Amino acid sequence: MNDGLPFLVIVFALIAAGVAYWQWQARKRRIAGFMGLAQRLGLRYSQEDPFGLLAEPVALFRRGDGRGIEHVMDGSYRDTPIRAFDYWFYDESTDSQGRRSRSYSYFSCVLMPIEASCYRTSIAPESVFSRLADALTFRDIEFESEAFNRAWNVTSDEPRFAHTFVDARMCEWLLANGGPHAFEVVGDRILVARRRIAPEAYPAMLDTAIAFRGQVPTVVFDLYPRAG
Amino acid sequence: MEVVLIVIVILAVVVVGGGIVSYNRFVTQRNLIRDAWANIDTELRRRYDLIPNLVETVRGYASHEREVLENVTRARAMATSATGSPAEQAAAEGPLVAALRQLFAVVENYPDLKANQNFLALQTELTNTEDRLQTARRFYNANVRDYNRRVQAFPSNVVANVFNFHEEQFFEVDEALRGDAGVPRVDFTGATPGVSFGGPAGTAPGGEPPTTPSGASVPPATPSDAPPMPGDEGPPPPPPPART
Repeated sequence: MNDGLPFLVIVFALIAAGVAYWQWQARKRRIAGFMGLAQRLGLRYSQEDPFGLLAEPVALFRRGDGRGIEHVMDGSYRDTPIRAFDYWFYDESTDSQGRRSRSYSYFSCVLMPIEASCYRTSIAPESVFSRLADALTFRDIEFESEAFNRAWNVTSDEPRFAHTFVDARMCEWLLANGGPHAFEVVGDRILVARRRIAPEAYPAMLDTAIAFRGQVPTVVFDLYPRAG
Repeated sequence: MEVVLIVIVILAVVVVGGGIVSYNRFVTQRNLIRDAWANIDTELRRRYDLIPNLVETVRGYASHEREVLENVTRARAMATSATGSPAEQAAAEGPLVAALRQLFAVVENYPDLKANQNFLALQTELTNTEDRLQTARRFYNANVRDYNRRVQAFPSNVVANVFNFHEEQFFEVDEALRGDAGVPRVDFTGATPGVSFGGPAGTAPGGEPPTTPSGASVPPATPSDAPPMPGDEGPPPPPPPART
């Protein structure tokens, strides 16, 4: 039995080294992907977050027990200032034997300014969990379109604002184009987020984000003008 | 015997407590509906106030379109005199909106009028009023929908019956002023050219924290505020660099 132990140790070490190498390669490929994309789109790229984006007041950046931002692209895309980046957070848990483990969640995000002062409002695809939460807390805001209510979950600090922001045109657009994205507006910011995607998929996400911003009803800018 | 008594007392407390909570919620909802209706009323009045100026401006260029102008004036008078329920008000709004749509269709034949600054200002104001009206209508109807659902559903319908909370009427206007022949749509795509990220992260321009329209600071997000995000249950991770 003891004779096999060194062999097992070597096998495990090789596997660990293989995984580490694979991760290093994947990271290198992602960095190269972002650098190439940023250059193609005329954006600046930074591997780290030079803007302190975690201080942005969006709710997604308060989730989990720890979080980080990397691969930040910044600049003007289709005449709109944008910041696109990878975001992750983890939840820590401890099992009955006191062993700690972390479960990570990864997102691709686009942050844009908006010429309005928005109440915190999130628009995310409905899921089993959000339906359950709605049933228990009644926090989901309902709109005139039943199809929209079934597909999307909207919560807001101010329902009146939510009804201003999500008009019939916005409902239709979200049903047709919202897809796997979640949207959050707060203050003068719009955040668009989805499950992490490859760098080459970012342009489509940027287009979605800008189209979403284009759907914001004019009355929002009239009733909720940006402070200052 | 004592146990039964305790159970009865607990049940009574739960029922009475639930009833009080339900009653208070009905009161809150009813007040919210009244408040929402007041907003609709404000926007309707604003629209009524704009119409005489609009009619006079159009008359200056198209005085022989007498019938169209009289229709608008008549419909406005009918709408302003309707002070009844939301359904009655909505019924009175229909002819007014139709008359206004007809007026805007006629205006298409008068290029000088379309270029008139006064007319353009009125048209813009009418557009904004229409947008605000639609927003107020959606908010009102959403509150009515929630309230009516509680009036109908068990067990809140028991409280509603005891305390005379009745179903409220929706405010539905068949015709929208906006549209092909009405007030022109404003395409807002890319209409905020000057917008930028402004001050430091999380602050509005001028270094102030993001504020609500009432001037109150937007409170920091809490984990419980976070929306359900697609991808929460992602694949097993390559460990990211440890940062918090």
